[in-house]
Amino acid sequence: MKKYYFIAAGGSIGALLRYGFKTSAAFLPTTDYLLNSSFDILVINLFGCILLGTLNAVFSKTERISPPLKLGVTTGFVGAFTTFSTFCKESLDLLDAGYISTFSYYVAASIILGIVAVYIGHQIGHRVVHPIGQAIVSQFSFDYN
Amino acid sequence: MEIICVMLGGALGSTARYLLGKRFAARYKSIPIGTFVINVSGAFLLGFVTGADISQLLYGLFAEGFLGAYTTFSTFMYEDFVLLQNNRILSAIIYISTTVVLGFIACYLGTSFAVFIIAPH
Repeated sequence: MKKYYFIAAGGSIGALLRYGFKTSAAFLPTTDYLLNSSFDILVINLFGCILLGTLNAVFSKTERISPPLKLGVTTGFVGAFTTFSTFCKESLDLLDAGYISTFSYYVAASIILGIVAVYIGHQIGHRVVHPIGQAIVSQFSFDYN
Repeated sequence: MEIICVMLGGALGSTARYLLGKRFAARYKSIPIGTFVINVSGAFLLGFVTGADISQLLYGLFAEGFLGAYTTFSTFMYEDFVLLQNNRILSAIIYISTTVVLGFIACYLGTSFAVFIIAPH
């Protein structure tokens, strides 16, 4: 039962952050709302992919973090932060608005960079975060298992 | 108020994804069919909600909150990464292309369906 609270809590924070980011952030040098919101979704999804890659790499190596907390952070928070439905809608809106080449780049970039982002996150988790976590734990804890 | 709607939708959406994903994972071990069903059905529902022309508050609850959290891009990409890592390149390509193409079609059909229902006959 505990895991559902963690997933729900993570999910609500993830959805809120995505919503806040999407409604406030504007990176592109254009006032076009559609281009800006599509780009926001791309940034959100790619950042989430890096994060999930890192977290899964670290979580698979440690037993110190409880399984409900792991689920809450990955399935709950990152899963809710990234979104596929809005990606589909933004893509169709681009197509509908006549941005044909932007649509193609958008879809290709989301997928290719998405997998690359997971790979980068995976490497960061294995090579950077996990060793640092281990070093910290071995400094402060009494058992070295 | 809109923030509360998005958070409530997010909590329900992610829990629904977990429950449904777990049910599929128990039945199909090597193909990530759960995320596929979740993402395509969520795309259809988002298309429907968009076409249904509801209030901003309800849109926050259902679209930004529930469906945004119910569907996921990160798990979709992570599963592709795992398929590629296991040298199942063809499976990865099929998984990506069917999810994306059917997601677009589902979203479009959802909007058309909502417009069809709402439009006066």
